[in-house]
Amino acid sequence: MDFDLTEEQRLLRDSVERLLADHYGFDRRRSYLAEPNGWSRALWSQYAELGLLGLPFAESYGGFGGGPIEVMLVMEALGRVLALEPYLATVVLTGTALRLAGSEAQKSRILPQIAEGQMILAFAHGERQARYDLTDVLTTAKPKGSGWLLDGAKSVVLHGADAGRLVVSARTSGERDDPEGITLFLVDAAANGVARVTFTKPSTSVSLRASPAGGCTSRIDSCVTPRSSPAATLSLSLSRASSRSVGFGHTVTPRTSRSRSPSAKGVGGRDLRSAR
Amino acid sequence: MDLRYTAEELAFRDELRAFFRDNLPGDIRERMRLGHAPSKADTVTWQRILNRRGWAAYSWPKEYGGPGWTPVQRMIFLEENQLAPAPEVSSFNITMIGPVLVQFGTEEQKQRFLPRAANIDDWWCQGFSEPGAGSDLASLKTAAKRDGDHYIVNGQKIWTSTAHHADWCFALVRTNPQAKKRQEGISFLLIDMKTPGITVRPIISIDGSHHLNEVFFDDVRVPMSLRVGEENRGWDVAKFLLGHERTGIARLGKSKERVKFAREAAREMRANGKPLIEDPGFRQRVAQLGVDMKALEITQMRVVSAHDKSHDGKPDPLSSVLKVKGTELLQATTELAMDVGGPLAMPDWAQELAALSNEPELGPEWATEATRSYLFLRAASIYGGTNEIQKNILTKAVLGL
Repeated sequence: MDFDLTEEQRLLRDSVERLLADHYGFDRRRSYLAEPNGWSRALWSQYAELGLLGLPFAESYGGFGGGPIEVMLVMEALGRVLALEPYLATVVLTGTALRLAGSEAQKSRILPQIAEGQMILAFAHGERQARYDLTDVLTTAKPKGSGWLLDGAKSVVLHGADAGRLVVSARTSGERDDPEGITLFLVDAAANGVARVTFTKPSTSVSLRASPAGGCTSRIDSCVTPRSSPAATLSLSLSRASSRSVGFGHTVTPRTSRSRSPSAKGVGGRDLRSAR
Repeated sequence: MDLRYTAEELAFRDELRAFFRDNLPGDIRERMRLGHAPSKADTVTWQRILNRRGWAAYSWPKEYGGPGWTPVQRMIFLEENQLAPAPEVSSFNITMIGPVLVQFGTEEQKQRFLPRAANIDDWWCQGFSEPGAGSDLASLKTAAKRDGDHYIVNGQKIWTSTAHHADWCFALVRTNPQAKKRQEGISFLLIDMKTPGITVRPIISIDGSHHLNEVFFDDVRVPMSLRVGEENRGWDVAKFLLGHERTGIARLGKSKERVKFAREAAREMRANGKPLIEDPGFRQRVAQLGVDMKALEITQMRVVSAHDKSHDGKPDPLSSVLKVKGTELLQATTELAMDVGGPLAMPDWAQELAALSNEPELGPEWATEATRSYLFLRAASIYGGTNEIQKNILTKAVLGL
């Protein structure tokens, strides 16, 4: 066992803490809350400059190849100041899903944009009936033409209203609760058929209540509803990748060996089992 | 020793239950069941229904419009009212200013204010805490100077619950800044909230609600006839007020009602592919809360029963146990209701629910309210004498440290 941080890790922690100490006093935080998204775009750019937004991604995708310890240090610092920016939603949740399950084409296109602070993504997985049951997915995806037709509703999508792209889980086979048959789709949030109900709360209460301990926060939660969609949406379902269960952080679990269904591969043809 | 209610007390409880069943308006009951904080209108409506039956001023003697109940009967009333679930009667009207006027008020003050307090024709608020005087109440600075047959009041109160609804405020003010002991220069005034010079500013609390206020007094003229008790003896009045009916502060019925609701809601929610109500972890938590509530119930009976027998009217220091344990349970049981909601308890969508009809994917109304209650009741261990102060009292008076 070794609980000591490396020199690089200490430097990372110190630089994040210094940035936040300078920019996250109580009144400053309130002023970020009052911005259109309820968080600071300017700070988001500074996170990008500091390399925080690409931290867990490989260097070939504009990242720094950081692991869970590096992400933890950033999350601790963000949590300490009740930071409002969508780090958890974009970098940790959706970024991890893409990193582990995305095709080469998806990764090389999207991860650099995350790292540069150019794209906000949200992970649309939880459903109204599911509570914490991660395999309780009723949203369906059916092949249609050259793409997929998604139908269903997602509930309480962290930063769903801010996101340009959504990673949406949907059932391509199996019944409710079946750990097999859940596929992730990359969906343009502005596509036809996607309806978002946004919950905006100008009061300080919500900014606090949406702050999980040690986590990143959201002023805005939304329901994302991919409804039966016309062709325009289908083309935006860039590809598919499958996972047995999808959770927070690094818990994306690849489909186990049983079958090599087409959905067990990303578009790049890489088997997800080797993605961990 | 017999820890059961007598046959008479059980009959009394059944009489209350039948009345609540038949007379509590259904829409108010449903709002309370979903966990809403009662509105002013709901509180007034229900207190007037109770008052017509002679029960609103549940702790007052008969001659002043109360039912003349025993302490055990009062305890049963409070619990059944909370279990109904119905809005609680205004504590400022019923357990604070009412008993104070009965004990210290002039005949004129009693005639003028008591019937209106019982019927909540006047909504009262409490002007005690100040920016520099909370747990250390005696350091309050709001000043009242004599000017003929009036006092001129200047200063500020804070954390004043429902001041924005209030018609009247009972306030502690400093009438003798030179008094040797701080407690000896304080008087107790009844202040009409419509008097010129009073400004009420909202404090929005973490749950997003407007319950608390700042109240500013700027040359506010208060007739001397509206002082309760002698000048500079207001501390005696305040001590009486703070020691009166402490047993009700546990709000045990409210905790029981929240657990009952959480169990019902847990049938609709799920965990590990089954209804949450079948989840062993959830069941264990409910069972532990049940045990804690039973222990508090018996402690509460012990305090009430001792009070019933002693007749000396002094507050029992053990009632500090009720405050500490009662508010801890209130926080734990509202947290339980919130946790049943899981992720659906995260966003506050009360406004959206009100604006959109039939949007089932939003999630249940009660989940939003559960989180609001959870957040608001962080204050429960602070208000009514902080739990830290209660523990100080206990170490001195009960443990003899």
